[in-house]
Parts: sequence; structure tokens; C-alpha cells
Amino acid sequence: MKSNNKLFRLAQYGSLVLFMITTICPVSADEIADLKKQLEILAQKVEMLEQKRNAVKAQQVTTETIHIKDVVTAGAVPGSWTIPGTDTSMKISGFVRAHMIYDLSPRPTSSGGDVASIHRAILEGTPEYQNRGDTRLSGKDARFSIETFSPTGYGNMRTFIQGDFKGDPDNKGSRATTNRTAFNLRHAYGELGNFLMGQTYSTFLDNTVFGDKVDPTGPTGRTMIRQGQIRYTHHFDEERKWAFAVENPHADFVNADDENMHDGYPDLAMHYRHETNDWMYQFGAMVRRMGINEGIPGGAKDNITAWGLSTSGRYWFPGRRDRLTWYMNIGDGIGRYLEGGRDQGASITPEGKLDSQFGYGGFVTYKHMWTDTISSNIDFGMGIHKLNPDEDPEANRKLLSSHMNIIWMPIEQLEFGLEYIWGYRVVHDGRTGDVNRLMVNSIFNF
Amino acid sequence: MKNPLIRLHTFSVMRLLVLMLPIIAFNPLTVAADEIDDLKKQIEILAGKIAQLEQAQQQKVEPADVEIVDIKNVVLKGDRRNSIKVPGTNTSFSIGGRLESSFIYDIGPRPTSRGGDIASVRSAILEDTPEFENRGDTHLTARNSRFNVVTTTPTQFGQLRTFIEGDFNGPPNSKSSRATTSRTAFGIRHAYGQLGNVLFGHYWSTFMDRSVFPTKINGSGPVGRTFIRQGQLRYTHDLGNGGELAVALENPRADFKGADDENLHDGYPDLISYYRYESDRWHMQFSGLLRRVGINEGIANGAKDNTMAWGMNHSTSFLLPGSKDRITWYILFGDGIGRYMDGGTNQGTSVTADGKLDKQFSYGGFITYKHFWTDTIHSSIDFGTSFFDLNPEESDTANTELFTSHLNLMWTPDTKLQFGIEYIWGKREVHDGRQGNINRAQFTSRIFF
Repeated sequence: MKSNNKLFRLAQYGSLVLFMITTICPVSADEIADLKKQLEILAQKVEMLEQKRNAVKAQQVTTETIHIKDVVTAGAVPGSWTIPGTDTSMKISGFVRAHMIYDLSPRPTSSGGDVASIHRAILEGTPEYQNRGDTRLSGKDARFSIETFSPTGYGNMRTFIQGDFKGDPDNKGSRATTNRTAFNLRHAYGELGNFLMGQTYSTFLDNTVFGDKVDPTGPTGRTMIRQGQIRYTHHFDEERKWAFAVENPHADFVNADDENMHDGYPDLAMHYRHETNDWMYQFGAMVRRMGINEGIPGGAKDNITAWGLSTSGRYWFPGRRDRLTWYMNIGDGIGRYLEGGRDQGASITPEGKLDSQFGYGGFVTYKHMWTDTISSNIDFGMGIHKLNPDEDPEANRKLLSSHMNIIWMPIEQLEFGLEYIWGYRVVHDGRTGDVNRLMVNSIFNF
Repeated sequence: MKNPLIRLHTFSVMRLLVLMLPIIAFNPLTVAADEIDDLKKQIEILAGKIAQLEQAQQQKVEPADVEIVDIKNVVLKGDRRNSIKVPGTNTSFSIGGRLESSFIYDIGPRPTSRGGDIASVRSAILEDTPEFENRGDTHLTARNSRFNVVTTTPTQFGQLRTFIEGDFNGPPNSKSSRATTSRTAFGIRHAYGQLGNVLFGHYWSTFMDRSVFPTKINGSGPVGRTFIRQGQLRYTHDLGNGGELAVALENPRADFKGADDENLHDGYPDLISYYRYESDRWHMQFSGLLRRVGINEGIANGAKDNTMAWGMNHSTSFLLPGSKDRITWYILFGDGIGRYMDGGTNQGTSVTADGKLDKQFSYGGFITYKHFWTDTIHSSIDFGTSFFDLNPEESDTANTELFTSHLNLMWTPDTKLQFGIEYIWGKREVHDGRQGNINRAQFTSRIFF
């Protein structure tokens, strides 16, 4: 309104001046004409100013005022958004992985053949062993996660749920038609301050050194376990941390099931980790109690203590074009904590007692970046299980694997890869099985 | 806005005409020359002021670093808590759920249902089995975590609401997975749509009253309750003054021993109704159930047969005077009530020697008490029981008596956080007289999102 008055006042002055000029006209006609012109120009300008102000007013009418709290804004971590009216951030992410597989050797049976599990490679002397050259295309390794972050009076809280579609096929008919598979739990945990509770990777393992692969199975000799746990992590500083956890126990011997196994105490697992931008190393340890409950007719109850140790590391060569990672696992009764050793933690003696079995393994991976977006990886892994004579004839004794690939990541959301996978397995009775696979995949991250 | 300007202009002309009359009369030239200079100056001043105003306005019209966004393209808060409005629509959308992690220790034999994660007394291990001697098992799991997607939209027919929820209590992927990656399948809990007073979809049965269930840690409840989720078409009518009436047609499922798709016959939907009265400090509910159970020559020498079964239920909750402490109870009975009584699945009827259905009567109930120690810490205790009058031809392992009790201490420091510890006791007796029991301690944390 102030500018309004100013404008009127200006107009008034203008008219006053004009009037004066007209009254003083005899003095100098030229000068007066000049002044008139100037005044006209001024009047026009005043009018223009008024019009502009009106236009601004009209615009202001359609402008709504919204409280910032009612607007969905960017959240606490990249890719997240705030839930309006709360201080919680939510994020949904995942990927679609589609792959095409060609098996030069017999197709392994795990996950309907989608995963090249060396520890379940088809053994010679079986009917499937002569079945070679199978092709498969699948998109069931798609996953998504829901993640939330909120500050609380007890520290930062985070929840994470992730699943994939690698569950059981709906039924046999579905595999030939609509390829339905169940959505499956991978991770479901909450973190509050230094505590983690729920299901995620075992505290014993290091899932960051498996190398960049096309096939989701890693080099053998590693640990691959996700299970329920309560974990406490202590950060010494930005680089070093120590974690301690109680985790879900699961006795492992041949034919272990609810009726005959006994899980008296939770498994204890820990790791120490030191990580910098260029290198990392981790030590892990696990101790557990395995029990059997009259597992064989006339058998006795028995419990044994088993343990495992691991170390892993990563090193980027200067220039960050080449990367080396390694993993080593060793333990007596390490069983399911060494890939391929499930149900092999202990053998059952003729009296029905448990007898722990020693296992060790490890792998190395090497990555070379040809360009910023194209890289190749090669790895070699091995797992050795020392089996007691009374162990099952099909228990794994030796596992070897190697992967060789070329991966192109043109942008962050996209990844294409071509891989050759080789695996070799020797079981207790001396028979062997192998995996020979070519695989192409594409990953679309969201 | 032009008019007032002109009006003022003419007004000034009139006023000044009068004021200027003496000047016009005398008209001294020397004075006039000075005045012209003066006027020029004034014009200059005016021009300067106008230029200033022009500049100022230009700055206002085109602000340097503010982007103008159409409100229709902005994601805004929705109508419900934690929801957002889908841009360009009236629909509020939210994703919610909870992370539940449990540390379980079975003092008694571990029940087998869902790999032992749920302390179901109805399937407690029976004596004289190898598992009965297996005690002291530990288990850590997070599979009871769940998430849901909810939408609400105001429409001319009332509010439209959709709700889908699932959890990971489905079957484990394989035996090996239990020892390694602990994969369990995602399974549906709820999937329904609601428009005004009508609900259509998969939801808690209209027969049951969940609002009297105790606040617990383990997913198993006190026995003597109904625990059913199924497909239904429900109409709810608000009677005013806290009264509510609901009528529903729900999915039928004949229950007798060995009932399966080949031999059961579900001719009609189950018919269910409840009346509920609710006030600030107490509520009560009565519900009734009528259903037709059918058999289709399934059993050897069997004939086709159909029988009418029924059930009744009463529940109440009230807050104790002057506190948040709460007492609730639940009473349930019926002839052929079967699966509508926890632990009575496949016990609605027995199959006679000539293949006919013979209804079995059962009754049960529970009582719970919840006490607040502080605003954030409370305890619950409950006791439940149910009895099944079984016909002689019924299966040997059909339940005849069930008892449960839960005692817990729970801490809810924040609306998003809950921790609790619970002791669970349960006992069952089956038709041949054998017994089974549950003795469990459980610690659970829940994070809601």
C-alpha cells in the first residue's frame, strides 16, 4: 500500500506541475512543450508501474503457503526421503538381475540351477551326470529392501528388511509357465546405537571381499551365513572396530533335523576389523556347542564344542586400478561356517556320539580395471574337509572353484557381465563332480 | 485502478485552479522563468523516483534464486500418520511394519510349529516321542518381521482404503537354508479393500475380538480364543452411542480329521455377526457364527453328508478406576466350532464309521490382566483354557484339553521401540490321554517403522 500512495502522490505532483506549466505558458512555449512531453513520459511510466504491480498481485493470489513440515524432502541418507510430520527417513532400493546360463557340464541342482553351487555339483555315476549343455534364463534374483533411519533418545535407529525372489518355485507347473517363486527373507534387522538385533550376515564372516562376480555364488572357501543374532559393535575410531555377537545355533551332522539335534547355547561370534581407503583386514572367531539327541536308534545324547577362525583382507595397488582380496577359514567342527560344510561339522560314531571334523579353506581374488567402467576379475578358492571314516559317503572332501569375468558398468545403475565358472568337487567315497558354466548377466539397480 | 488516478488528477486540477488564480492574474515573467527552472528540477526528481520504483519492482518480479514449482508436482504429507500424498491424486500412501527379533530358550521340548518359533501349545511335543526328551534348545530369529502398504482415498462413496501386509513366517526355503542363510518365505497376512462400511478381502475373522488379546511377546496367544484370518465380505453398521453391528460372509472350510480338497465340501459361506459396545473405559462384544460343514465321500465307505455347526463368543475389557491397568476376558463355545477355537482345527466334527459327520462340542476362554509399573513399563499375565468333548472315533492325537499362561515384562521407551521378556507355559492333553507341554523363556525386541 505504501507504493500505492507513492504512486498517487507522484501522479498528483505530476498534475500540479502540468497545471503550473499551462498557467505559465506565455513565458516560453518551447520549454513548456518540452516539460509536457517529459510529464507525459512520467505519467506513462507511472501507469506501467501500476500495471506491473497489479500483475504481481494477481500472481500472489494463486500462490499457496505450505508448511515445510508438510512437504516430502530429502532424507538423512542419499536416496531417502523424510516421512512428513516425523524425523524418520525412508529408502527403497534393490535391483533386477537377469541372467542367461549355459552349462557345459551337468547343471547343479541348487536353486533350480540358477546358482552354480560347487558343493552340490552333480556326481559322476548318477543319471544327471550325463545331462550336459543346459540353457536357462532367469530373473528371479531380483531383490528389494525397505530401510528407515530415525534419531531417538537412545541413539540413531535404523531398520532394514531385504528379500529376494529366490524362494521355492510355486509348484512344478509354474516352472513351465509363469515361473512364480516365493519372496524370501534375506535380512531383517534393527540397529539402535551400537546394538544390532535381527537377521543378517554372521558376525564371523566378511562379505566385502568376495570379489566382483557375475554368478552370485562366490569362490569356495568362504563363509556364507545369514541368521538371527544380537550384536554389539564397538568403534575404537573411524577405522577400527570390534563386534561381538550371540547368534542362532544349528547343530550340523548328517541328517540333522528338529528331532535329533540339540541347540543348547547360542553360537558366539566376533570380529576385529581395521579398514582404510586403500586396505582392510579382519579377524573373525567363532565358538559353538553342537548337540545330538539320541540321533540314531540306541544312540546317546552328546554335546561337543567346536570353533572356527578366519581372516580376510583387501588391498588396492597404488593408482587404484588393481585390487587383491583374500579370505582364510580354519576350524575344528567349523561345519556350516565353511561353505560346502553344512551337516559336516561332526560325524556320528557307531555309539551315536559326535566327533568333530576339521576343515579349512580360503580364496584369493584379483581385480583389474581396464578403464573406469570396464573391469575383469579372477579368483581361485578351495575348501578341504578332513572327514572321519564314519561320515556320509556323499559328504564333501575337497572343493575347488574359479571364476573369470569381464564386467562393464557404464553408469551406476547398470552392470553387464560375462563370466566363465569352473568348479570341482570330491566327495568322501572318492567320486567327483564338476561345474562348467558360461553366464551373462545384467543388473539394473534402483 | 486507472479511475482513481484520473479522479485525483481532475481533483487536483480543480483545487489548483482555485489556488493558482492570483498567479494567473499577475503573471510576472521574471518569476515565471525561475519557476520553470524549479519545475524542471521537480520533474527530474520525479523521474528519478520513478526510475527507482521501476528498478525495485523489477527486482521483485524476477527474484534471483527462487524456483517457482507448481504445487501439483510436490509430494506432500498425506491424511494419515506417516503417509504421503501421491502427487496428482487424493490418495494417501504409506509403508509401515516392524522388525521383530527374538531370542528363545525352551526349557521344555521345543514345539515343532514353524521350526519352533511359535510356542503353539496345540502342537506341543507329546510324551513317548523321541523329541520329548530334547530340552534346552536355543533359537534366534527375525522371521516374524513384517511390512505393509496402505492407501486411503476419499471418494463420493466414503473412504476407500486398501491394506496389504505380509510377514516372513512362511516355510523355510529348504533344510540346508536353515543351517546357512535362514531363508523363509514371505506370506500374506492381510489383503483387503474397504469402501465406507463394506470390507472385502482377507482379514481377521469377524467372529473374533482381537482387542482383548493380551500384550504379548510370543506370537502364540492364550488358548480359548479364536485366531483366524480369511477371505470375507463384511458390512459394519454404526448404531450410535458406541454401538456397532457387523455382518459377514466368510470363507468356509470344513474341518474333520483328514479334511482335504478331495473329501471336504464347502457348500455355503460361513455366516458371522457381532454386536459391540465401546466406551472410553470399557467395551463388550457378542458374536455368533453359523456354518455348514460338508464331507464328500472322502472317507472309506463314506457317504455325502452335511451338518450345521455354530459358535458363540463374548468378550469384555475394562480399565481399572484411576489407572491404565486393564482386565479382559474371552468366553467361547459352540457345537462343531472346530477351527474357530484355537487348537480345534480339524476337530469340528468327527467322521462316524458310516462316513457321516458328527459334531463335537467345545468351550474355552481366557482372562488377562495388564499392570503399568510406570508409563513405559508394564506387565501382563494371562491364563487360558479350552476343552473339547471328542467323540470316541476321533483321532488319537486330537486335543482334549489345552492350558496356557504367559507372564511378561515389557518396556516401551519410545513409540518406535519395544523390548520384552516373557515366560510361557502351556500344557495339552490329547484324545489317547498323553500329554505335552511348553516351557519357554523369550526375549524380544520390536522396532516399528
